[in-house]
Amino acid sequence: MKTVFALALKRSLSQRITILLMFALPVVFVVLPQPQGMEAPVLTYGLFGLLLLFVAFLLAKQTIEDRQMRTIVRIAAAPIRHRDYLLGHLLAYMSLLAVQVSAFWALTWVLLDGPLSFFLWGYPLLLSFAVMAVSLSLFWHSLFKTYATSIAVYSVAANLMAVMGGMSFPLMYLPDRLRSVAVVLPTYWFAYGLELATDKEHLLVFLCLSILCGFAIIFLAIGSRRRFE
Amino acid sequence: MAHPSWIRPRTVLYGVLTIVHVFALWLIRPQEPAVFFLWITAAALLVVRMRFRLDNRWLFVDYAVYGTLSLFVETAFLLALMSLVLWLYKGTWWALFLFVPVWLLGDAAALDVLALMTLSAVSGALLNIWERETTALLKDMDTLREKRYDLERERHRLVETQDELSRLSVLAERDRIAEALHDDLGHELSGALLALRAYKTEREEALSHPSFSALESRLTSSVEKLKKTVSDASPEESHGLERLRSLIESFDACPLEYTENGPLNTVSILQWHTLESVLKEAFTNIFKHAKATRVDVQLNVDDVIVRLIVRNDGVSSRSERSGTGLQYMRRRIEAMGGSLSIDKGYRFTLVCVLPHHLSGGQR
Repeated sequence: MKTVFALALKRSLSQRITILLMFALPVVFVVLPQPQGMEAPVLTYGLFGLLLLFVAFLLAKQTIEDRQMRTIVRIAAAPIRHRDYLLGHLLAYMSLLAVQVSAFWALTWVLLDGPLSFFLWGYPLLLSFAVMAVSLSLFWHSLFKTYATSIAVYSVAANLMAVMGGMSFPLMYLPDRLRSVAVVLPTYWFAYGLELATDKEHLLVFLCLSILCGFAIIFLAIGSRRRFE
Repeated sequence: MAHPSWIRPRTVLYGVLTIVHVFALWLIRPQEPAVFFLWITAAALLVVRMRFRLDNRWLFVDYAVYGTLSLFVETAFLLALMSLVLWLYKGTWWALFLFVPVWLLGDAAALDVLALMTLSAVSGALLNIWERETTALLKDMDTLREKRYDLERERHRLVETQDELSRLSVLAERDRIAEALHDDLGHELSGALLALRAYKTEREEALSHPSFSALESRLTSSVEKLKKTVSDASPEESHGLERLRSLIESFDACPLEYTENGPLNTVSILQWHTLESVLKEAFTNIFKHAKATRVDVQLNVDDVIVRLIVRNDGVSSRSERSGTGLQYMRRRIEAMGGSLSIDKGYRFTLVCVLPHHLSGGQR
């Protein structure tokens, strides 16, 4: 598994545009002006969450490329279990995202104002959202045969999820009817968790974290099925 | 392997459970994190159970989650009933007793609740029966497929044996013809030549007659040509007893003592071939497994039977079942009316007995 981890990390770091998006774009979010009347940089974190959705998707494209190039068939004949292959890749992506999340969180804590509880809960919320994003990407790629189709549909779906989940704008502006539908989206619970963190509702934030983990488990369970084509 | 168009009971079960989960979500309409957390825990358990084969003990976790959810939202009782379906699908019939308090805690007189519980219980039971029957059917299919492959392998072996026997029969026939030419025609020609030379020594005037010289040279040439023909017709490859002896001589894993007795020239080509195959199989097993220090081979031929005994003092497998090679040989020998027996006692002993027909033999 160590070999797979190292290889996945190497392949991810060779995607220069992804690395640039990972570390350059968050800086832009941090310097964006905050809306009036907001105690904490919820919108900044929301936009970063949207970036996490796409960065995780770009990192996880190796899994669908391996399937397209039939590398997965050769790996199936090799003395490595599919579980180890998958874990190696997921750990590599999570390592990179953890670094990105940590850097962003440190930057926001230094540069932006907000209640302490928001920053203390913000970090685990971001990490759990990153885990969920990687699992979602794995699940999404398992639905399609080619990367081109996968990214085409995902671009629309991810943006819709972000809009309906209240990541691109405050949740209070979301209509009630839409809110009752948005509860099935992981993006809603991320945005809701950020708002609850501002209000110091610790137990509820913990529940939002757990819900994000629940989504991650579901996507991982479905997306971890081995497909050869 | 299942037929691709088959619908497995597992697929139906999890399809229905998924629909019920989604329906329950629509009924519950959770806005509070706590309620949605319970629902997503139940959904995650369902997905994990679909993806992996979880132990039956995990059903208690389902029961706890659905039960807790039902305390918050009454309509979540529907999910608890799905848990009952799962229990009965897995064959844990005593789970019915777990759900009686669930019914009692609700409205004991509610017929609709009782009807739903009964429906869930019956569905779970039916799915369990369906699953067991499908599993049994798949097992039978696998067994039949394995037997078909075994028969196919045996057919190939029989074809190969037939080809080999044909070839050996040709060799034996050539040997017989060479022997007949040598014994019958060769002796006659040699006798005629000797008689002619004897006449020549008595009658000197025959020496000058050209016909006499021609006759002598023709006879001499015929004898030479006959010798060459006999030599060419005799097969170079050994068969029958010679082949068996060369196989024994080539065995070098450990000291081997070989004894033979009886009218060995009365054994047929088919019997020689069978004995050779049995001996090869025995030697292979000795090489691979036995680690023997001494091997005894006896070949006995009498009016009734042809018997080959192979004994060695090595280790033998404790398993009752013989290897596939010996099993195949046993079937062939039994088809010929013979027997192949193995004794795995103090010394490993293999005894092959073939019926001996007096009209058989190499001729």
